[in-house]
Amino acid sequence: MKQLWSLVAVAAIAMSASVVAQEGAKPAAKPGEKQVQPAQDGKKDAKKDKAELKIGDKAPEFSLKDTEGKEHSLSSLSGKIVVLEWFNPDCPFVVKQHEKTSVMADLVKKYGDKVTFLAINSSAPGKQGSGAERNTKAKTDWKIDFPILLDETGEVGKSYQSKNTPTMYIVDAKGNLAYWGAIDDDSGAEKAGKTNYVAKALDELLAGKPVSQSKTKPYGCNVKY
Amino acid sequence: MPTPARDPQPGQAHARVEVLLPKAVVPGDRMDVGVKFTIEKDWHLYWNGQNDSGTPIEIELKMPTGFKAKETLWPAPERLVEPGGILNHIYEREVILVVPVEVAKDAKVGPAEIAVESKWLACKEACVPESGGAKATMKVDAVPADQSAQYVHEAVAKARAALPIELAKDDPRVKIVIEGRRATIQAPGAREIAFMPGPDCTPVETLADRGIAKADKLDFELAESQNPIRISGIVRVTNSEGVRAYYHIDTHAGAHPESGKNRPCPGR
Repeated sequence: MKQLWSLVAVAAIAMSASVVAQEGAKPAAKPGEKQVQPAQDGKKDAKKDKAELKIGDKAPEFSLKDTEGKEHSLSSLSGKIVVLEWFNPDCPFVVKQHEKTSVMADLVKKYGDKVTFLAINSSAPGKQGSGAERNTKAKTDWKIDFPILLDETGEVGKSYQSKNTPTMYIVDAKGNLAYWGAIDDDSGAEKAGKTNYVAKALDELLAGKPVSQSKTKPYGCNVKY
Repeated sequence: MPTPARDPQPGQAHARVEVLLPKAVVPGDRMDVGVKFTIEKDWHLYWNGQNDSGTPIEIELKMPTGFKAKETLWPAPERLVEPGGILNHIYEREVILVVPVEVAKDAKVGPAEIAVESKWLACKEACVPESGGAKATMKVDAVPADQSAQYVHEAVAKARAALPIELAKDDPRVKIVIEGRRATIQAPGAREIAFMPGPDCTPVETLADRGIAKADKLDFELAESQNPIRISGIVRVTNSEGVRAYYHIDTHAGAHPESGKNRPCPGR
């Protein structure tokens, strides 16, 4: 079963963000062929490099403001292991790992002194879960003690080819992508899974070992680009 | 600017489930149970094939002793491409999942109740995990009735007739060629071909873009070299009049590369 998960996950990487623009550029959809038009930046996307992001690649650099207006960049964290959580406070699968269960809190408790945690929200302005106000409230309500970065243009999300909230990424101390996928093996919105892939990968990284399961199929809501 | 979607009020599900049964069945016979979802306007539920987000509908039937459900038959979904290259295969408005059921020769004659428990994720902009159940009753007749009509539920029979067509070997309507990591689906006379990979299909690269072509030929690359390669799922063929046909395909290649021929997958 695990094998299948990792295979399925490959399809998700492969669908590069640049694809959107091409779909969006097509003429009006026929009945039964639903296409939601991407934001105006669609054309710009089409020119971007189509190369797919892979495990072991340099993690895409970003510089984003958090809910308090403080800037965070990946390069400033060089030398540290960084966990990225793709975030949307109104997605039930994100609610699961912050409110219904202690999955995220447990990770922070166990690894917080050795690993940097960042949440990134790529909801476009006006879309579900967007804005400093809503995310500040979630941060308070759920006692999240790591920053929630706002990626309103969706550029960072697209550079990570993030399609789901919550998708989890781990960037190793060298700045390379070491894990990409689901937080655990329960794809429902109610309970924690038996295996926490992020914890497993962090244990391996912290022990200086390669990550044995570096890719899983993310689950959850679509990112509200 | 649109108003951000809010959490729905508790108890307001965006889909509801029903069980559709024939009026009667005879021991030793088989029948179709329909599990119908009526979906609120603008909302959608998810197919069980490969999707970038969402979770497929789950159903569980509770039936009397002697009733045995076979693999659920899923109608062809619609393709939904959203910003970010997010591709999902979805159902809107209404869908009937068809569950073939075998009724044992020694099944008890008399009334029979069939219940369904279901979980689904309903999405519009917001996504909401929901669940529901339903039940219905029918009869197990000792001897066949005069009218065979009572052994079929009309809406379920319609749903079954609309299911993707199973392709016979060497069926000329759809041809699949797999060479290395590259696959080609050909449908003579097609104006457009779309491929929707099923749950067991080898993952396909950039499907949001390349899973569809305005031609009688669709080329795509498989995301990973894997042996054997399996191409399974639904091929949607649109002809020059704009009429759509759906075919169920299941082919694999690579196990015997020297033969150069594809052969059907063994059943799951």
